[in-house]
Amino acid sequence: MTLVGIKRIFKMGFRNFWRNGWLSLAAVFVMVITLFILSLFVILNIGVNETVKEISSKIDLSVHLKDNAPQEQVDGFKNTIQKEEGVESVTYKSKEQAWNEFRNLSDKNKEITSQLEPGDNPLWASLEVKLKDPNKLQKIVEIAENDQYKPIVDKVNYREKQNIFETLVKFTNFIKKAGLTLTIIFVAISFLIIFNTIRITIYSRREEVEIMKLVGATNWYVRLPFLFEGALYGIIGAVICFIIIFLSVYFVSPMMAKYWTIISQNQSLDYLKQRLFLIIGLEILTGIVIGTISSTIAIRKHLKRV
Amino acid sequence: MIQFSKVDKIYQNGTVALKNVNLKIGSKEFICIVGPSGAGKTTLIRLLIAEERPTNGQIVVGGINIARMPMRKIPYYRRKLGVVFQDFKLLPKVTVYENVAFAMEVSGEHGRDIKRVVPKILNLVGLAEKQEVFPEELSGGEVQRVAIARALAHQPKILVADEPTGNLDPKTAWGIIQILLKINELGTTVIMATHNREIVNKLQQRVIAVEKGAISYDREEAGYVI
Repeated sequence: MTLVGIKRIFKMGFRNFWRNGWLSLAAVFVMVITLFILSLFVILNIGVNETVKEISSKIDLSVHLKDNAPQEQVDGFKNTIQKEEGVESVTYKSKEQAWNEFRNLSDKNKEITSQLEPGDNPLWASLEVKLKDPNKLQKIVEIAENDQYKPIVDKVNYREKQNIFETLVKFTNFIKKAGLTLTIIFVAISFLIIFNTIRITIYSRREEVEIMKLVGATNWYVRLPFLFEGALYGIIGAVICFIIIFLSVYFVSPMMAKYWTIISQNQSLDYLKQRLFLIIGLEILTGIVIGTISSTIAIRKHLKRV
Repeated sequence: MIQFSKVDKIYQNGTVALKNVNLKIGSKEFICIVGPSGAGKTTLIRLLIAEERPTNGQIVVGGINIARMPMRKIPYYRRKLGVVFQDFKLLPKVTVYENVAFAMEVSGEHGRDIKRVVPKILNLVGLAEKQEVFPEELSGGEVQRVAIARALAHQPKILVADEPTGNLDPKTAWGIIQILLKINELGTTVIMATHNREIVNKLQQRVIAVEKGAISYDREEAGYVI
C-alpha cells in the first residue's frame, strides 16, 4: 500500500465517522462508558489491593505475658514464633516500656499515671508480633494459645483487627467480581453498538463499495477505512474517558480523603500522574481492539457479496 | 487479445446463461454484441470483467486465464479494463470530476497524475465545462459520458460498455457512439452490448449475436441481425 493510499484510507475513515453523525456519537458514548467502567475497576482494584497490603502490615498480635513468666521461657517462646513462616518480627516489650509508652501517649495519661504509685504498674509485658502474611494469623494464635505456653501467656489480643481485615478482603472480592461483570457486559454492548454502526455505514455506502470494487479497488482498500472508523471510536472514546477520569480524581479525591484517610489526594493524583501514559495507552489500546474487532466482523459478512 | 474457449455459465439457481461459447477478439476491434434481453449479453460482460466466474471453460485476456485468477489479483485486472455499466454506477453525492478521479484514487494513483489526467478525459467526452456539476443535474447523455470518462480513467486497453445508449434519444445516442469510435481510434478495443438496431446498422462493424446463451452469428462489417 502506497503512502497516497494510506492517506486516502484515513480520509475516508474520518469522512465516514463524520457523516454518521448521531450514530458515531452513540458509538463513542458507549465506548466512553465501557472504558470508564474498565478503568474504574482497574484503579479501584489497585487502590483496594494497596489498602489491603497496608492494613495487613498493620495487623499484628500482641501476646500478653504473665507477670511472673520466667525470662528463659519467654525467650524460647519468642524464638518459636520468630521461626514461623509469615512472621516479620517479634519484639519484646517489658512492663516498664509499656508503662512509659502509655504515659507518653497523651497529657491526660500523664495526669492519670502521676496519681499512681511507681510500683503499681497495672500494665503487662508483651511480645509484639508483626506479620508479613495476614493469612498466617490463625496459626500464630494457635501456637500462643497452646497449653504448653499457658504458664507464661496471659492472653492473645488480635480479634478486633481481624474483623476489619476480613471485611476488607470481602470488599476486595466484591469489587473484583462486580467490576469484572460490569466490564464484560459493557464490552459486549460496545461490540454490538460499534458492530451495528459499521454495518450501517457499510450498508449506506454499499453502492460506493460496489463501485470501488468494480473500478479496481483491492479488498484491503475497501476494508481499511471501516477498520479505521472502528478504531476511531475507540481512540476518541479513550481520550474522553481519560479526561473524565483525570478530572474526577482531581475533584473527587479531596472529598474522599476527608472520609477515607488511607487515600490522600496527593497519593492518588500522583499515582495517576505516574501512570498517565500507561493508563491512556491501555485505554486507547482497549478501545482500538474493541473497535477494530467489531468492524472486522461487520465487514467480513458484507465484503463477500461484492 | 480476448479469447473465450468452451465457456459455460450456469447460475446457482440452475439457469443456463451461456453454453459452449467460443469467441476471439483482437486488439483495437470495435464489437457490437447484440441479442434479445436475457440472451446472455450481460453475463458475457460480467464474465469478462471478472464479476462472475465461468462454470466451465477458459477466458484468456492478455495472456492470462481470468477464469482461474485468484481473488486478490482481480482488482489489478480490472484496472486494465474500462467498464461502462448499464446503470452507470456513478456516485450521486460527488461531482463529475470527483467521480472520474475516484476510479484513479482507489487504484492508488498520485494526486498530481489525477489532476493532470481527469480534465483531459473529461475534455475527450465533451464535459470539460461540467466538472463541478453533480450527476443529478446532468442529462441522460451527459451521465453516460461521465460513465465513459470514468471507464477511461485507467487508460484501459479494453473498454466494455453495457447498453450505453439504453435510454437515450437517437441523436444523443449517436453522440455517445461517436465518443466510443473516437476512443477506438485512439487504440482501445471497444466491446459494446446493445439492442439498438439503427446504431448497429449505421456502424457497420463486427457484430456478434447471442441467442439463448449461445453465439448465433459473428461477422465483420455487419448490420443488426436478430
